[in-house]
Amino acid sequence: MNLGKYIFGVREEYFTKVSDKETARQFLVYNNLSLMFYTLIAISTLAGFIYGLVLFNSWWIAIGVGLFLGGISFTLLLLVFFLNMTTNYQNLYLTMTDMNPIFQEHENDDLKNLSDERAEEIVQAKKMLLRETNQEAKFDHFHLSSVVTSIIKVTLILIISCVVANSLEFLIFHKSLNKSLNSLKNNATIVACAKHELTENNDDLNRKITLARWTLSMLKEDANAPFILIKSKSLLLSMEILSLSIGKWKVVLDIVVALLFLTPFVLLKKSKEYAGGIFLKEAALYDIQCSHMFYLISERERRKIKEKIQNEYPYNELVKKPLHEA
Amino acid sequence: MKRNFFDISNIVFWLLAAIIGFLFLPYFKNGVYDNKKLEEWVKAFDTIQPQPQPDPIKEYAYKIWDWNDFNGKHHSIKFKYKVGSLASANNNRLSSSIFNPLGEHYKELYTHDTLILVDLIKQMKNYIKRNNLDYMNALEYVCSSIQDIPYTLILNEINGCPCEQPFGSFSANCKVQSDGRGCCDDVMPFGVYSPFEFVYKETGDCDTRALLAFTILKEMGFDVAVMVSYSKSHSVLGIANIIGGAGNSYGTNLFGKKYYLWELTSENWRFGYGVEGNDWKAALE
Repeated sequence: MNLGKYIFGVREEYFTKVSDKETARQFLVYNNLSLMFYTLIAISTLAGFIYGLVLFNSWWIAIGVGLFLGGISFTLLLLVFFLNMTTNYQNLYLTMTDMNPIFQEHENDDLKNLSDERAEEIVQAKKMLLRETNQEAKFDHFHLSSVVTSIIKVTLILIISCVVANSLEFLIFHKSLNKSLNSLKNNATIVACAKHELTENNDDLNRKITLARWTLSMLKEDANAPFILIKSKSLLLSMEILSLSIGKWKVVLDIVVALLFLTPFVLLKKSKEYAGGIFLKEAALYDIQCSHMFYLISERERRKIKEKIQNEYPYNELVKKPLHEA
Repeated sequence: MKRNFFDISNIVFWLLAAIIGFLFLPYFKNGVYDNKKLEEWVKAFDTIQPQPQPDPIKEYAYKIWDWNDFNGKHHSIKFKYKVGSLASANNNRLSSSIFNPLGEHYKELYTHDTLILVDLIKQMKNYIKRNNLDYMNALEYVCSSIQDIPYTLILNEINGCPCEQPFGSFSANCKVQSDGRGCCDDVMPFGVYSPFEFVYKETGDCDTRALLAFTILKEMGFDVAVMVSYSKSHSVLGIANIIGGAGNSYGTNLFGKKYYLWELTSENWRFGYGVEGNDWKAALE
């Protein structure tokens, strides 16, 4: 199944000029990347679903939150992926981002009588030439902005991974966490503290009493909104208890999830199979071809219209006459 | 076999995914989750050991809070509060972020001022116990103490007073006025005084009153809420677990829990009289 087609637009026609082995390899790497992408989106959707259950204790709202977080992750990860999909064929990249040198070649051509078929021939010839003259995938066009954008991209991925990691930890440890929360609800020290009356001259004690009352109120189940996944109304309280209970393992789990999210990003950035691959080269050539073709056609029409205006438009009648003649 | 970067990354990704899947197995969970660490956390609630240190401020001021209840009976409470409480309540109000939602702002004021009003609440509670007041009479005892104070409009605009409102004209005098036409401006944010500021200055409009009633009643154990209506730009007290009364006006919280409404801006408005508006929501509960 060609998964890469739905996300990255990898289609057979891009590979008509390359060997079957190379084509199969390109399909493999893009299918794998797509599968990684789908996996990350699925995990993000699950994470949103878990947050929905913890915060709202409602299946429908949880589904909504899951789809919302999944949608956000889909958009942001896709953005990061596409921003990293830049061809390493430097001349093609530079041509694609600045087409003026190609357009200037046609400045003195007679484009008014250019047929569509002739335009297609010119464009195809240029495409062939560019393909033949760009055989080596080498990129040394450094710009400082790429460092800044890389930092932003990594930060974005780490934020998503952090959100996802916390929710996965809730799911993994929810049974143990519920036992802990239940033990806190019935803890003699907390219950006794909450039963104290607030005093007039002891803010320290009052703070303890207020915190104990708040803790118990967060652990008390509402009849009209029973707990579903975590037996607490407070996400932060649950997170604190979980964090205390799993200690340094929380950091390990966070790192594992962060690495999971960063791997496709690093893969896209560093692997020569993407930036130096045939797909991105052909995609760049296709982009140049389209721009070139549309330039020729639009320029032909522009020149025709210009000529018509020059020959037929009553310029003299529209020229503003001096005041004394008016 | 020589492996390139793609193959290695591919293995790493699926290996990490497998590790996460492995974490769902009970063997891992049992080895990682340590319930004993909570014992340290619970110690923070211990009121015996270590002994919480009394507050160093020992200087108190007094305020007399007197009013006539709905039956015309006079009540008077002389309660104490720490010197500097007014400045503390004021600072706490001003430190609240303007980006906070209204409910969050109410919560900050309530949490801070409950501790200042401890003596007032305690004395009210003692009166209720001593006189064996039932649920409704206890509510009326507290609410009448707030309703007896003449209305004063509170605005968060600079130079907002004097002003014309749909419900009357208000002077530029920020003092208790028997005709209920006083007006205080520049009360940031949201134009609401904190509960202690209201008790001290005796100037307050709808939400300031609802917040004080909430602070006292919540501390006494009543199931109450501060209710707001955005269409009416108004705020009242909400009471749950009680029969609605003749008016049957009520609002709800996020989960649909009903709170019956009690208007606190008028001296003789008793529970059960209808309150206008159909978009009442609990801002603080």
